[in-house]
Amino acid sequence: MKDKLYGTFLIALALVAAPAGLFAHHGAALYDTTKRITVQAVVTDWLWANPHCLLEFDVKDDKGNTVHWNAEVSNPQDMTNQGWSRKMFKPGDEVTLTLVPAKNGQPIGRIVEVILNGKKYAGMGARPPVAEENK
Amino acid sequence: MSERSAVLAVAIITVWALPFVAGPQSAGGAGALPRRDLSGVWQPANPLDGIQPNGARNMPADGKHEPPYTAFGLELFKRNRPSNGTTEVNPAEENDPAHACDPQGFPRENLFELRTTQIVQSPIQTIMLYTYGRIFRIVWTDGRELPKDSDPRWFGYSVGKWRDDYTFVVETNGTDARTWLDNAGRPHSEDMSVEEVYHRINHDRMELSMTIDDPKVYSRPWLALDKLPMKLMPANTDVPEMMCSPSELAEYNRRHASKGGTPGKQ
Repeated sequence: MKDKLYGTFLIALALVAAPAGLFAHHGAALYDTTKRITVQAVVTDWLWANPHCLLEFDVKDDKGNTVHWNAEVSNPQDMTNQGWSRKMFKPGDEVTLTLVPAKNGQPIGRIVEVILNGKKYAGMGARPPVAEENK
Repeated sequence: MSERSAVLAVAIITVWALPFVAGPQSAGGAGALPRRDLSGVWQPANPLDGIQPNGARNMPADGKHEPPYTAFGLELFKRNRPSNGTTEVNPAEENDPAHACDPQGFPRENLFELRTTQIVQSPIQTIMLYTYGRIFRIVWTDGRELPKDSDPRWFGYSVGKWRDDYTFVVETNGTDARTWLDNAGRPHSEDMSVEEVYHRINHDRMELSMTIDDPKVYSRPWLALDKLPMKLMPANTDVPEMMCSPSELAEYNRRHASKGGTPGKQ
């Protein structure tokens, strides 16, 4: 069960263009914005705070070792506008995350997309809704 | 309650009630274009336009735009280590005073995280209530002149005049040189003056332009905002809070930013 919960460490390293719509209090200097990785993970904590919300999670690497990660999105106000919320994650939740990884190889990243309970949520790689723009 | 206190209380309530009894409140409808009135809740028509992560909207630090630095100005700019723009560094290595929760000051309040903003007018003041930092600014409209050689303040000193019935011009000086102009680390001196032009183009829209004039740091005035579209929101729109909290920042740095440095430097 535990193994199932932790899932498989998927290395889906892809050389793709950096997300065009990145917006942030802080820039992208930490990250290799030419890359994305996709991991299956188990949530351990969710910090809903400025300047950036942080998701803490465990991932099994290809040797079966558990690696602890954290990854950021934007601030609570921006993430609320994108349909995220303070209570959307709880410890033990299984998620699939697409991340922009750190340049230095540390287990930190920026969340491009998360799939939780079968629903996709856009992270920092997407623009917030601007449907009101021309009303 | 003394008579003086009662008068003061009535005056405060009157100022705050003005937009609800006299201001333009029917966002989304055509409505008559009010004269000499900006009261209401506004936000950038495209929310992304107000965030300006890489510096002033009309002078982003993108390799294609550069403000006209003097030699002294360029020297000041090189001392700044922003975490955004063409000279960005890792968040743990930046020296952005606002990212360390100093007040971001003016004009940066208009050049970074400009979001929902309420404008309240009285006969002698125009008051701006901002989302970021839950900051307010008072623009005096009682005919006074800007102070000369005053002590600097984070948000300076501001006076406003109507150029015509639909164009409100605000002049600001006396700002604190410890603040940056924008999120890309553009500097300024205490001698800077800033002109904001709020031009109401119809009931539901206005445009905000802003010019920086600081001869010590920039060889000529330059346009930081050029007709940024702002839209009027419904009157019951709540101005949200967006705070720089030192404890939250420390937690972010401890958990995340501190792990992103160059290998061997952590």
